[in-house]
Amino acid sequence: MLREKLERLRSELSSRISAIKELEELEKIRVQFLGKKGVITMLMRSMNELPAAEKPLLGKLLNEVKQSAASEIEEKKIELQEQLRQRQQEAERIDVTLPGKVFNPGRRHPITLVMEEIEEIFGCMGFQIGEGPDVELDYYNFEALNMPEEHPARDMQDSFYIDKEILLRTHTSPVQIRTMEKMAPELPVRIIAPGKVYRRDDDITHSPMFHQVEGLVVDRGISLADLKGTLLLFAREMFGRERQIRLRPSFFPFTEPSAEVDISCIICNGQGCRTCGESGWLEILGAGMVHPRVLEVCGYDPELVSGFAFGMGVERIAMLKYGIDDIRLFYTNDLRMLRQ
Amino acid sequence: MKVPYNWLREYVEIPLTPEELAECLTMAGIEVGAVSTFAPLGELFVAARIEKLSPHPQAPNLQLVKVFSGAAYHDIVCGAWNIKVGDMVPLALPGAVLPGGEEIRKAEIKGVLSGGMLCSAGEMGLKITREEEEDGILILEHDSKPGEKLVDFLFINEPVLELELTPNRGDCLSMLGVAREVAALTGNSVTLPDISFQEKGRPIEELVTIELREPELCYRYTARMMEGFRIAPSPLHMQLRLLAAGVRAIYNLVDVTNYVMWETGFPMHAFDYDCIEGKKIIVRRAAPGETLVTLDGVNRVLDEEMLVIADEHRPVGMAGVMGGENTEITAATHRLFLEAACFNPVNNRGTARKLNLPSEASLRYEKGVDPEMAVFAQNRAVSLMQETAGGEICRGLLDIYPRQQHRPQLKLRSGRVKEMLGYAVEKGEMEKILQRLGMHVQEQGRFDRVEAAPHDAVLDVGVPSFRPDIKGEIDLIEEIARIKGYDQIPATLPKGVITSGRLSPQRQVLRQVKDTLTACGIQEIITFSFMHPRYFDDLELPPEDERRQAVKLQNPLTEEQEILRTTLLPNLLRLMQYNFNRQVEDQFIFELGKVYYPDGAEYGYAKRLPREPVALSLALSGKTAQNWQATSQDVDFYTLKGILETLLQSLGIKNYHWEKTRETFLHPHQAAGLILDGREIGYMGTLHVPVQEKFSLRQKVFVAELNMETLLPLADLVPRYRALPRYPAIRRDIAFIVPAGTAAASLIEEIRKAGGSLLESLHLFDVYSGNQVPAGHVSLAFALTFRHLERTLKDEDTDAIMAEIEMNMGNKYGAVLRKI
Repeated sequence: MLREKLERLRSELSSRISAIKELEELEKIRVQFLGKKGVITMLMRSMNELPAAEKPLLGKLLNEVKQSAASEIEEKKIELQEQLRQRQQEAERIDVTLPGKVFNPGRRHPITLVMEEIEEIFGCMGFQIGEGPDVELDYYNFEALNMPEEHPARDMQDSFYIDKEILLRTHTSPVQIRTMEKMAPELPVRIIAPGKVYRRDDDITHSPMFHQVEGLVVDRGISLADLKGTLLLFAREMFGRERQIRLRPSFFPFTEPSAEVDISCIICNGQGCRTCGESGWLEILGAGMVHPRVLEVCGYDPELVSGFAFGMGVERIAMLKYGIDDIRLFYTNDLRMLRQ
Repeated sequence: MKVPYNWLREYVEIPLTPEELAECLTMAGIEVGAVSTFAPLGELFVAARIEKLSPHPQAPNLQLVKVFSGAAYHDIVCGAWNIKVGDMVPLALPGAVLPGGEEIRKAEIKGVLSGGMLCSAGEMGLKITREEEEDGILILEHDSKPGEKLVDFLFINEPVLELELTPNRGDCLSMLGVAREVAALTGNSVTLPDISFQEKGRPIEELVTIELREPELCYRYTARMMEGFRIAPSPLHMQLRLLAAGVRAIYNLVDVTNYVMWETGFPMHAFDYDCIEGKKIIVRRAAPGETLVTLDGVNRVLDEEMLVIADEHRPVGMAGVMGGENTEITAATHRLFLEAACFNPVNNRGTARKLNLPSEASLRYEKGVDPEMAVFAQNRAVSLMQETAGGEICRGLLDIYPRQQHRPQLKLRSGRVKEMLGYAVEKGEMEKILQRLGMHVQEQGRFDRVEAAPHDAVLDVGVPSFRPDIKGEIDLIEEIARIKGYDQIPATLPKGVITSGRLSPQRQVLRQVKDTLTACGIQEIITFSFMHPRYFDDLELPPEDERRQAVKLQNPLTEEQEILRTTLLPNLLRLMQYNFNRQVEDQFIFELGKVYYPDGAEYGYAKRLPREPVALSLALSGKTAQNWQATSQDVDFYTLKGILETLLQSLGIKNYHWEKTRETFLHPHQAAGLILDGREIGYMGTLHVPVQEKFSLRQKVFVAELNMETLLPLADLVPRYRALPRYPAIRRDIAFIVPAGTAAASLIEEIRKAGGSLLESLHLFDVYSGNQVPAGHVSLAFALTFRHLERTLKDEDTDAIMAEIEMNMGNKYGAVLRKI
């Protein structure tokens, strides 16, 4: 009798559980059968009243019913929970192709970007940053750099004058003099000097104001080979590992020997293209060994120490790097360009 | 300097193509900018001899010409009449292309087939001078042969090297100078042209005397004379050669002086001897106010800095710059006084500049002409003149050379070469290189070796007069490196102690400023350091405003760049206008850069330079970014203020406050000054409408400018750690209704005072005026956070404070608590 009842109970329970759709219903069933006052719990309690001979068998059966009920409920619960989660997720479906909410950060001016990159490369090589004024004495801009009055090399630079002795610096080289004057006789001198310079010129390749970075190393035993190695390292950091450099003899009054420095073209890698005028090379800076007279003027003995210096145009490098063909664009500051 | 390749080859053997030569010279520091082609006519122009002339059956203005081109006879229809049988003329064969692009074909002209075209010089693009009519057929020199290609004997298709010389290499402003470089690079030697001539007639001493009064300004003066020549166009060959070098031929005598100048680098000038008064040449300074009409017809007023060539009574030429009209060679000239002199470079340059007369001669003089070349140039010139114009050369040459310049003797130490270049060069190789450059080299005897290290080889080097740029040992070292090739230099890195390349604290702060502002969505711009003084008026700055005291340029390019900026603002506003005009409505820009102030009374007196403090300026206009969820907001005063406060926070600057400020260009009630350390270091606010209009700005603009010089030392980029709180905080919100116009800052200060050390933070989260509050009043709501560092706060602790706040606010500001 009881045995049949239990069997019935088991199958009834099983079919009721499988029909359930909501978690709440399942909980009700669980309470109804397995709760403190649930059907199965009550049956368990009434086991004591059974005859001893039936106890083990029925007890075992009842336990089986209880366990299978519990596990079916648990399984069902997991199933329903999963269904619920899926329904919820479905409701949260979004269009992932809608645009994101963009923060529009401003940008540094391209000239600043290039200057900071140059500063960083040389900073890592131990170059401090040297400074000098934009409005400079003729002495520092020309005379101390081996360009006395009437020196033909002054032809190369048409300058903005404030008065007879004061002008807007035409290059960053006066910082060489100011730095050496300040440091002599201490060694080593290793600086770069980024800054604005001014020349009376305004066309597609000239701007009355532009930027240069000067470099200067003075120490015992500095050679032209050291200049080449330093600039090669710089060129590779700035323009990529595969860059080559080429030095050509040139002339600056304050360096001797002097050189123009080319890098293998960053567009064609030296094969020849429009940017490099089919030569495979791009001129990027002027350099040389500090002229003994310049060292002397600044308080160093040229028999004991030597040095190299270089100067590069920031706009030139930025133009190459960003593919800009008109220098004046840097100072038009068209926001449509700066935001590119 | 243009160097026709085949002209150069007359002085030195060149085992290189023009392109190879260009590369070789460039790599030796004689930069070749380009290799161009003079008269690019191709191979289909040949010399042809005129065999027969006959009339055209149909057209009376044409004739039929039979010519022989070596291999064949051609019948040509021709419209020119300056030809006769036996003349050699240029024939363009079918397929030849004229400079204008027109291709010559066999064509029927008025019923007669023409097998090519006889060309005038103009048709071939050759700008030569001729005695005959300009548009006649070009008559070739008689030594050409029928069928010879023009390319082979005229300077047709001539490769021309365009040198871009550095200012120290004046010696390469001549064929011989470039030839010497080529010789040094290739190991070949330079061949000087043969000079042969016969002197006849009276000795020159009897015809003219020379008085050199200024030996400092004229190092050497030489003269020769000729007579009985015939003035005419130069031979075609010389004309084309000069043209290829970029010199327009004029007539034989002048062409020769140019030819010799191009060949030797030595400028010369020819005077009409019969116009020299007193038969005397005086080299002297001009008298003040003296005048001379130069060859270009301009009456020049001279000063005593200028050197003139004068006769007994008057100047007849500006020394080394330009001759005078009064002694110009004309068709009537039959005696010639030829000058080859060497003038002071600095003085010559000054005169050429003052008279604004740059010339090929003064270009050479200012870079230094080799006085040793004078006699060679004279002899070369008279022999060429005789060759091209006939005539007789007077006997003798006058030569005033008061102070012969001695060649500098330099020492070159092998150890120094190695030190400077970073690699050793064999003594023998150094000697060879220097000798090839024309230097006199001798190894120094052991006894003289004082300055050199024991193992050094020391060379005594005599520098030739044509290389005045070589003045010291270092110049010799460069010569060695240059001729060996800079590609021989190894790449090494400087040895020595390690140095720090870190940014200075100031520069770190400036980078932080850029980081913060760009993160806030503001674009960096860079404008010129110049500005137009008009903008001070546009900004309505009072006359006494310090910013009006700007540094003025003596020679600005435009009015727009007349002074150095004392404020960044005008350039920013102009830029905004530029961008508004290009439909950029939303602009958030900043510039971080120097401004320039003259140093007051001491400026100019004690050589004091301007002050150059760094300033930061911002300008905002338009709307914040929008997206499909949120609409954009107008930027306003508080957007800008928030950005500035964010900036100050990122720089670790706390002890600042804002006060009302007066700037004429800001809205009177929307302007604040930033007070730091008791000093106003900048302003911010809404641009005043009249100023906005002056700058043609079509919408509201918010601007700020800070003096970074004062701000930088106060910045502190290193945050300090404070122990994290261990006890919970209590948050209390409170809102007050106060009369409109009450400064929020004073309420905040009041709350802070009452809150004391327990008040951890205060946040104003709502400002309201409207129906809920009485008219003329505004409600301000604050969120206060209280915390005790050592224990958990109880409500009673804060209740007392809140009560005190309420009482004080009521008493001081008439504030009424608003129930939230």
